[in-house]
Amino acid sequence: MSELKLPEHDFVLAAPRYLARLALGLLISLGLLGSFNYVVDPFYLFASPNREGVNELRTQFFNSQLLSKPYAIERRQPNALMLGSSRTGTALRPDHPGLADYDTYNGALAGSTMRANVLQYQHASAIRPLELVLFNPDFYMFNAWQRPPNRRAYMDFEKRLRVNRDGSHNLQRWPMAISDYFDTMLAWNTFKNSVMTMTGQARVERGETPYLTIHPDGHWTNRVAEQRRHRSYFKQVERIYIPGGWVPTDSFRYALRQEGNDGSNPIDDFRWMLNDAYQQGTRVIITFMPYHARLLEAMHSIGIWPQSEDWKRTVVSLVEELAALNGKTPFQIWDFTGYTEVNMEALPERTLTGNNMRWYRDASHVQQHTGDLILDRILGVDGKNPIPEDFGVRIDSRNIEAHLAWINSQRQRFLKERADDVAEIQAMVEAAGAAQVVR
Amino acid sequence: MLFNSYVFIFAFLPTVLIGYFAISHNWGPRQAKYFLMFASLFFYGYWNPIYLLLLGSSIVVNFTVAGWMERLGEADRLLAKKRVLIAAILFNVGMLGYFKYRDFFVGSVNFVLGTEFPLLYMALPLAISFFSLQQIAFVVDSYKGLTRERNFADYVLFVSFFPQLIAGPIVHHKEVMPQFAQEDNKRFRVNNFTLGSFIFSIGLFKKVVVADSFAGWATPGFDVAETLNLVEAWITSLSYTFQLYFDFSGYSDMAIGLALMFNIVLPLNFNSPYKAASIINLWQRWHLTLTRFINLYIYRPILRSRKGFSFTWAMFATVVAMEASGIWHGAAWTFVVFGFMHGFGLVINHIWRRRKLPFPHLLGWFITFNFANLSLILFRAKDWETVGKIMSGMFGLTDIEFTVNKQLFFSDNILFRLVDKSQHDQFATALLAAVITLFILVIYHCKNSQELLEDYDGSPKYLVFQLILLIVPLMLLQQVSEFIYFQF
Repeated sequence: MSELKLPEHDFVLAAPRYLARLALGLLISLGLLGSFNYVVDPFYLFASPNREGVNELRTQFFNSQLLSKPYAIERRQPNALMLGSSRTGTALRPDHPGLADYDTYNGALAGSTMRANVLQYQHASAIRPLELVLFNPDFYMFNAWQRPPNRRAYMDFEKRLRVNRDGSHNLQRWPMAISDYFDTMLAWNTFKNSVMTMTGQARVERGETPYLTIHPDGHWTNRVAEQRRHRSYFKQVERIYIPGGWVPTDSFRYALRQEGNDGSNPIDDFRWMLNDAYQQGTRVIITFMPYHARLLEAMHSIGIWPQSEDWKRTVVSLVEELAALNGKTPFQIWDFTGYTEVNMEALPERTLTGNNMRWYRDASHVQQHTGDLILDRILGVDGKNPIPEDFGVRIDSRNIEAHLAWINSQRQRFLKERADDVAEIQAMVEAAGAAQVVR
Repeated sequence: MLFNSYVFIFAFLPTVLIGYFAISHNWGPRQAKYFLMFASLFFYGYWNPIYLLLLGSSIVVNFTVAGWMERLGEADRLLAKKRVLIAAILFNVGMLGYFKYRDFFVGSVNFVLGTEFPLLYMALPLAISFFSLQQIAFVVDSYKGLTRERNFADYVLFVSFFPQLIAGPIVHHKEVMPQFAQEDNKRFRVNNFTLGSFIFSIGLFKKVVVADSFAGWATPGFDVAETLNLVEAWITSLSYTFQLYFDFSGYSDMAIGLALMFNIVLPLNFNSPYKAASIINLWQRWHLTLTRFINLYIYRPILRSRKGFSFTWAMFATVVAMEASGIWHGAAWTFVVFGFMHGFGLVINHIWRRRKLPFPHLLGWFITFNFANLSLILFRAKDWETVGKIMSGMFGLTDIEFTVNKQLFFSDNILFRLVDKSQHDQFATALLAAVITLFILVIYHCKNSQELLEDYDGSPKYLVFQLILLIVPLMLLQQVSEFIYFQF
């Protein structure tokens, strides 16, 4: 057995002096690092002010929303909250005139689960009672087979919230906050992102990367890079959805409820939130955000359209069922999907670079002024832009079937007039081996 | 709580160090030991407080049994004493068997007999493999009269002393507890703290910077084993070989450094194992305290169970001992085969040595290193299919390609911005080949932690060196990862 041998010679620097210098060296190095990361604040965690040429655009914030948004809600204490996925985060701005009477925060989380949205709602309600919630649930969020891509990040997200799932006070919040702020200040990952944020300012100006930044009210701007061909970018997003956008690619299953998953199906979380909102007197407006018509064709091709119709029926029926149970007027539900002029916007020419679409940024996300139109419609604001007549339909149990039938009838026009688009989408689905795969 | 976390480095450790020496100075060493004992139990319970019940019951039973055997010390009651010892060993092995091997046993029975006995899928209680072995050693030594502990609090501290509780080094009572009693050790000794912090820094760097970087290449490789080409398979297996060594030796360095801050010298666990030029030498350098345990409590008793020395019997004892070592590491057939592989490797090595056949040193190193590398595939792979796929890739039975797929090993690495996208695969191959080559040279030529400690002279050179060893991992602690040996 080898024993540990300690040096027996004299030290050049006596141990106390050595340790003092070591501590000083550590303090200076970590202090400089922490200050740099704090000033650049690439994830917008510390809410450090924007500085021209340094961090005016927080180009690296996107993957850290589960980290930064719960703390932003703590800081801003909103009484109106927007919830949903990136489709909400990038489209709806809290400073819309229709929300002037509220302190609104866009709490949408990119690619988020239903559970995360409900927890975000619980978190904000625990800080300040919510008067208004604009919830834009995504079809994929209701899939009981869907699993969050990064479980660890979601587990950490829960530790940052005011309350636990059962409504009890979250005791892990303070240790987590200390750890988050400390980790983020000293981490190599933050340093790397700080440097990338600083160099990113010039790259955006040169048009090499998208104009991407988060605003203090939680919504973000994301514009196609000036050097990027818009058409290819649009199709790149389509490829993300075919078929992995709505179903896990290891099972190709979609179900609102999964056997043996009682109490943890997304639909149960949604139900809980509706019930709580009715009881708290919070006004909720539910919106199905507009996919581009080409993505609706993709849904037909991979065999998930019937499920999407059932999903809408279920949402309508749940909203009304819980309203009746609580003796309240049902929340408004708006559907912006379909085959209107907005939804069917033509793709830009192949050679055009930068933003070249009026309504859409890509097949899934709309431009911010399209988001303004959506807010005009659901909040009843007479905006400066005229809203296309058939864009956005309020639905309930009385008109849901007629509405779904209307969408299907409008589709015939798309199939006929846009045969090239339809053929292209079908070819993409075939190439991905995803034709009618959903079970 | 992990050694490689901010909460440990900046909160737990300073609090416990200051508390321990302040209490020792103001109230006395006994009270300081109580404090250290409770701090160690808190450290353990931080993961999951329920595990404290398991650790506590194991401590109570073993302490009681040792006391009982002491009272049965007279010659006419030796048989009773032996029965108590056997019962104590069965208790420890039984507990380990239930929590660690139950599902493996039931799964194997189900497979062979076609039955459907339910599996428990229980999470392995943290450190159970280590504290069970340490206490088996204690009761055996108590039986032999080699050690004695009458103070319960001291015994709890012996088992739970936080630097070595989770993953060793596995220590003997007689080599640690007398150190707590030494007068000199009851006060803060700045030299020991400095040296402890130095060796801790080396361990932290090994774990966070080196082992976790290799983990970033080993893990995706093992996850997609079926698609690996020749070069990817070699990079995957070598990355794990380096990851395991730097992870565990990094942990051991940290444990030794932490204990030294409390004026306790722990035994070494590693002595440059990948410098070994034979399998016998490999086990004289790898996980030394486990090897010592296996030697003292398994190999030698088997050897002594027959009168006179027989080479064949010694080789049988070697295979059995290595098999015990293999199965101790994990409850799976891959670990069983790992044990046999090393057992038979040692037998061949002993036969060769007995016949005094010459063997070039460099060739011996090459064979030993590759033997270790191949056997560690069994250590890491989740099933036999993965073992087969990795080995097929390594021996060119699948896809003979000489470039790696960049996407497999690197996601968003800033270095790749320097190179055109069409060259990413070639660049990734060159980068990985350079890193692997560099670390082969490091493990073969460079000084190990013990040698660096011996050379330490407190000069500015060491100051800068230690600053780097600390700052770089401190910047990477955000992605906290557990030590591999926590799962054993």
